[in-house]
Amino acid sequence: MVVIPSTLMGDGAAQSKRIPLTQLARGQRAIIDSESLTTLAEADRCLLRAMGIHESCELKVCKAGAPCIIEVERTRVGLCGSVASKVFVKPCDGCPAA
Amino acid sequence: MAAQQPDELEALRVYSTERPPRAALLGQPNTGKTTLFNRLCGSRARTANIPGTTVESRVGLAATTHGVLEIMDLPGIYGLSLEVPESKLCRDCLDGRIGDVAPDVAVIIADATNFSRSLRFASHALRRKMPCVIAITLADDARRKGFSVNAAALSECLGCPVVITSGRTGEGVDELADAALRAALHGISLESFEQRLNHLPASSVSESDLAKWANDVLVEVASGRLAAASSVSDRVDRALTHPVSGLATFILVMSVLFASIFWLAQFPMKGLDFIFGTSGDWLRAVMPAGPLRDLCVDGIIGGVAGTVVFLPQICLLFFLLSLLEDSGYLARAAFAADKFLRRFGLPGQAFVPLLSSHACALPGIMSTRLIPDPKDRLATILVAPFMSCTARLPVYVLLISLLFAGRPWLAGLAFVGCYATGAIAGLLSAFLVRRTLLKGPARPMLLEMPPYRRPSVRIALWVMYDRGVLFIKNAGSMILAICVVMWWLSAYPKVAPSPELLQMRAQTSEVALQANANPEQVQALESAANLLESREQQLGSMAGKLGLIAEPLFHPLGFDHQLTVAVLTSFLAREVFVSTLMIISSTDANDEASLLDRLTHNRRADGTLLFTIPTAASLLVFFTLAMQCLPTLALVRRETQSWKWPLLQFAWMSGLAWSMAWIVRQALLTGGF
Ligand SMILES: Nc1nc2c(ncn2[C@@H]2O[C@H](COP(=O)(O)OP(=O)(O)O)[C@@H](O)[C@H]2O)c(=O)[nH]1
Ligand SMILES: [Mg+2]
Repeated sequence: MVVIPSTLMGDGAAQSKRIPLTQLARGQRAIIDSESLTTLAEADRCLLRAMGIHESCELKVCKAGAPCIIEVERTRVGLCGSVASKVFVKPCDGCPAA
Repeated sequence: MAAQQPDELEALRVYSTERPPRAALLGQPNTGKTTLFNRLCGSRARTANIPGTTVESRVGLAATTHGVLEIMDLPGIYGLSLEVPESKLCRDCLDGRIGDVAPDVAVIIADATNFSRSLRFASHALRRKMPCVIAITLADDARRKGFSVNAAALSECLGCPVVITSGRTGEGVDELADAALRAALHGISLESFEQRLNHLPASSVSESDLAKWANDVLVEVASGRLAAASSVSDRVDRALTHPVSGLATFILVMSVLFASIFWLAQFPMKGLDFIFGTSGDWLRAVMPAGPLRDLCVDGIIGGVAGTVVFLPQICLLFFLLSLLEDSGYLARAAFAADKFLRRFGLPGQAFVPLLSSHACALPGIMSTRLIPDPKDRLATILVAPFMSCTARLPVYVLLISLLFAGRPWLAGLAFVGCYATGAIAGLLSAFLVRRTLLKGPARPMLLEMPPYRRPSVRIALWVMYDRGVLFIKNAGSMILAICVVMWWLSAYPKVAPSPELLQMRAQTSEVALQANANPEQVQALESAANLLESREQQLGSMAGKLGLIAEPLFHPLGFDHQLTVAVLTSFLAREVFVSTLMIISSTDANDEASLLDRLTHNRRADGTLLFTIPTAASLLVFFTLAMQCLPTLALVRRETQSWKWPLLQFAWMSGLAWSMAWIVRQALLTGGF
């Protein structure tokens, strides 16, 4: 199992609180929690993964709130509030905000 | 390129006597699939539904140096193994479960500007035991951004041929067709398939490990690096998702879209009207009078005119939609509208079809192709005709001026009320149908926002042409048939002129023969006689008899025989209603004011007023909600591939219209009007 380096950076015990995606601010970066997608419906989870949004990937918020738009690698995806509120992330303070 | 093998030539010969080998384009949305397809096939392509489905795909022929290859553009999907209808469809298609034959080769599209994700997609697709070729698209765009892929190295990595292409510049397109044909003819042996599997990560690998694999491959085969996203795209998106500027842009874009089909389209429509009018007049002049001339002029030319009159709106809408989709804005618009429409069980993508339906339901229903989910799409099709279209406008004008004569404020309010009633009834019906007939979990919005790109006018023109042809081919013949039948119903059987009419005609010629005849007076007499003739003809025709049968049905709404006939004939197209009323009330066609005046004083046979306030109001409500449009019915039948949905829609809309009209009339009657 190979871990993306930024996960290590954000993994300090104190700073890594799990919060829903909808609570991030615009421009903030975060890492998707490894357990978080399991609360989603199977079909949504598979679709998100196929779009490139998978566990422990790093994302950037382009539009905050619900619905929100996030960017993973070179893909931007709009998520409705009902899905976004079930996606839990750890904000990574190590990553520079945009 | 390798020299042609003898067995390959043999295979070609077999194919050329049967059918060309078939390639399926398989890829994620917005990866340049359609652009590549158009480059490959040019004009040798047609759009058709995939057999047995309501999903369409394009099929075309590509010429290669070794023969012809048939190419099929499948819908864009995010993954082959997903449990969404589009992915299922692609799987069925690749397995040969739908369509006449299974494709011989899969052309897997990999977007160079989103390479890592494309590699992950390809790794799934390559696990199917069939010949595959990878086409790297948008290579020009990626190169401009400083990123390029080494095809040979990637081919080595994945164990299948790789071609670098660009649908924009045409780069690599011929090589791709060649490579696909070659792969199709070679087929795939178990040995080479196993070899290919060895290159790929295990199927059970987790998504993050797959991402890791893709990144390793990327490092090995690509040079340069793509920035996360362009800063321009970032800034534009920031403006477009801003609460104020975002909303303003949305309203502006949608207003332009709406204005062009509502207002701009009327000029080509008038042009078409003129052309058909003149050719009808010409034919009338050269042909001998008789039933054949009537059939040609009123039946056929009238029917063709009634069909092509929809083309300007359809073409304009699809031209603009193509530009909007290509630019990347359409996805943002759907994103913005989703929250509101979801409450009624409709997706954000339904916004444009519903908006367009306010101009005309036909282009609106055709544009539901933008909605990926079949249930969402069906629900949108079912409620689209509730939106008040331009054909209802003259009826609104007439009835509202009748109801609120001299009270412009109330009249304006009533107008808004009509549009709102239609829209609200549509949204509530959508809510209802999504909880009953189209039950099931709604697909939540997970919508990719494609990067902003310069739209291609060439593609937009092509889409416009394609849609126009498709409309004429699919719905045109049925609409034409409906027009001819409706004309026949209202023109036959011929009725003998009544003594009253004969007397009027005699009087007219008498006046005309007088030495000091006033030409204006003669003309007035003549047109009055013509109107009387039309009226007698209409009431004596089949349509008139049908009106007699249907009259008891409309009696509770306050409609008499003549009004019932008017309602029935307006099925052809709602604008016919006003002209029918003119015939009924024997008013000259050019005089709206006198029509109003006459209608207000029009009396039934028993001397009571025809248009009392309750009757006019119930008629207005009826027209706002009823599906008084047979062309729409024909198109819904085409788009849903069944009679069930259009008939259901018709029954629901008519039932609702009737009940609401009845309630309004009863309320007004009890209120003492
Ligand atoms: N620069 C460039 N743009 C392209 C190319 N191919 C497609 N596009 C653009 O990419 C967008 C998506 O293309 P389209 O063919 O509709 O993708 P599809 O959704 O996969 O069918 C459109 O804006 C196209 O104009 C290409 O080769 N080069
Ligand atoms: Mg496409």
